[in-house]
Amino acid sequence: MNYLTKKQLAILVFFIPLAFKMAMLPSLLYKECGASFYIGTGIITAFEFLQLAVILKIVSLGGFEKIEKSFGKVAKYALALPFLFTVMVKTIIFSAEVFNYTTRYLFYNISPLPIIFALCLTAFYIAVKGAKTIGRIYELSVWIIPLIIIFGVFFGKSELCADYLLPVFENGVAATLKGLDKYIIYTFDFSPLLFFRIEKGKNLSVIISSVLSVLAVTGCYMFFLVSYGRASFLIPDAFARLASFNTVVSEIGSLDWPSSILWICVSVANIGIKLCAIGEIGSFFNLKKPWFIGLAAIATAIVLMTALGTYDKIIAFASSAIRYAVVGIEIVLPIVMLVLTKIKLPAEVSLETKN
Amino acid sequence: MKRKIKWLAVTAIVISLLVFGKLLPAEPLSQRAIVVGFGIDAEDDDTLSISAQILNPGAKADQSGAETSVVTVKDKTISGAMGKISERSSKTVALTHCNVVFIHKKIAENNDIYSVINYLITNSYLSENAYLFLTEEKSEKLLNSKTAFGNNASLYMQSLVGINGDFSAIASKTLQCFVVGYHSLGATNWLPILKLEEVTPKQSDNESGNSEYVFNANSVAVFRKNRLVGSYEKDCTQALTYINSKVKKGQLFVKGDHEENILLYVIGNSVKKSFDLDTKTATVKLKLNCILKEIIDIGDEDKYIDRTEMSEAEKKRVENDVKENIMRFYTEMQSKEVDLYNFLESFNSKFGKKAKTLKISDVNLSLDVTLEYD
Repeated sequence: MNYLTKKQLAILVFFIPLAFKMAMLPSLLYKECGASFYIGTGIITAFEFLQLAVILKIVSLGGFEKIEKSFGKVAKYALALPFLFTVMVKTIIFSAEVFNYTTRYLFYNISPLPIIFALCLTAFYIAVKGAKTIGRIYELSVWIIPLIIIFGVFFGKSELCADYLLPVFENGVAATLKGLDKYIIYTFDFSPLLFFRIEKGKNLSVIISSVLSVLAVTGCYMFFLVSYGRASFLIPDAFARLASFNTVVSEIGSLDWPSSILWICVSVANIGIKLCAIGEIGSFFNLKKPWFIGLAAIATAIVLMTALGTYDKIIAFASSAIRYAVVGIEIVLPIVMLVLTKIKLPAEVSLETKN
Repeated sequence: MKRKIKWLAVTAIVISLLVFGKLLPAEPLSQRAIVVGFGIDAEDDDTLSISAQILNPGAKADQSGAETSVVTVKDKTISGAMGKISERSSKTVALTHCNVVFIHKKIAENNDIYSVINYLITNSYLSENAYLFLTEEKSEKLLNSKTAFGNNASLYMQSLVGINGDFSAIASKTLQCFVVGYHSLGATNWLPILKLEEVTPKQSDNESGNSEYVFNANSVAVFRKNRLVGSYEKDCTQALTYINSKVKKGQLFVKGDHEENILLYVIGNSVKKSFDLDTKTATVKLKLNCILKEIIDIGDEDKYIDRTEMSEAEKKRVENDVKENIMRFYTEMQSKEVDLYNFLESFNSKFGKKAKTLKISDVNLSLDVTLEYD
């Protein structure tokens, strides 16, 4: 079973909401919501942590094992299969995003085939290695953040205009909600943690990390807006552009490469978490984890090579009606699971009374 | 089982490298044409002339700094031209280290500036942090010109703008800033105009007959959307930078009470803005930090005046000169509906929909200039 320490979990919950909100999403949201997109994103990210709180509670109460014991295998399968669907859809969308960034921005003008292959193979390997490896990747990736800050302080320049942050809800609250609705699939992303075992103990570090994550997401969106103003809709790779700190150094080029390394590490690890969860679901049905994960990785690669090969197709898919099914499952099923894990069947009650 | 997976993964990686390796961008650094300066000129036959200053690490440098070669080609599109540069140099063109882009004034006069800039920003080969310049000369000549102070033209231009702090008399703009300005409510932009000035060459170069140049970037071209509003001289550049830039270097002159020449070095500026929608007034408080460099009485055998402070009247005169200069340029720009100081965005930020119908020609500027000097 996959096991995460509290420290690894804290780092993980910091990056999970951040990684895919800092790539294509800011420009897409700006296009829909206008300047108040940072408020909407901040609020919805805070809501995401309610999902995390429910999931952590379920895991601490025994998660799928407890449900199987109490309600049998059918209940476990019935709950796991919808998650297989949501995790697979998100794996495809997020992989498409990594693939898109790599071919469009990082290595422009190259064939997509080796990128898809390298991405899926790496994510597969990380997923098979399991939570320990994923946790270590996140732990090591954290150290790139001070490097980015040092680069910014030493070489960077600021060209910011705070006027763009106001007025709040200039296009109306409805426009902001409409935009958030369109890209809602990029939120509520903690369900793979249901398939992990988590170290017992106090959750203080996780709470601090959650707060920092909300602040980081909101702060990055504000920084993006004061940097790009009304031209925000033109900028598809927010994190890479922001981390160039408005400067090019002739000797070392643009300063965005530490942020590129960080983003690729945490986003591939994020996809690894999802594939890892897929492996766990496979094991519920007595399927061998590596084979099931491999199958999911191959399926992802095939979709990227055929159906979702371009930026426009990725966006159209992510904002299609499938988003409601995905987010609905991500929100409703953890609540159902929490209720089920809390229900004490008569047999359990009598056993506890005897003890 | 885990070991088996590890071996399987390693084998898959090796096989993938063998199969897909040729598709990856694997040119060594020496096979890349690292462009440090990029120039775009419009030709009479509706084609573009593109020049790229390429680092040439293998060559022997004949001046301090990196040795470079300039390749110029003609094509209908920038991409097409880059392909040709690649063919000519037998290297893959890499623009990630490119810090300066020269655009010929003719492109701006044809109101095509944003077509070029939009191409550059949406084409991620080039860093959006590259500085933009408008040129009166062909960029091929500019990039090939032997600069009087060592570095090649591109690196020399970088040192003029931004790298070591902004000069008050050079109004710099990066690609990113231009695009942000274009999409702002006032849609106002500016670019420094680059002029070559020949200087007396060093003795060794004098014998060989090679000319040496410095670049004058004191003039400024102002745009509204895609339209070139006009070109303006140094005073206007300063009126622009004092409010819009973080000035670190510059000079101010003023006549003393007894006709002395007083020179101040500008070492910083700070700007505070406030807005009143009822009176449609933007209040700007500009503080200039200076060093009093010298007070010279040239009327009396170039002698220095033995005082380290300016009189109150002299200080006031400096403040008034700066204020008048800014007000004059603001009024001129206002008459052309040019939002020089991004006031429309500030009014919109503070008052939202109430300021929706505001025009820049309606906005009064109340300016307060304070001089502080050591």
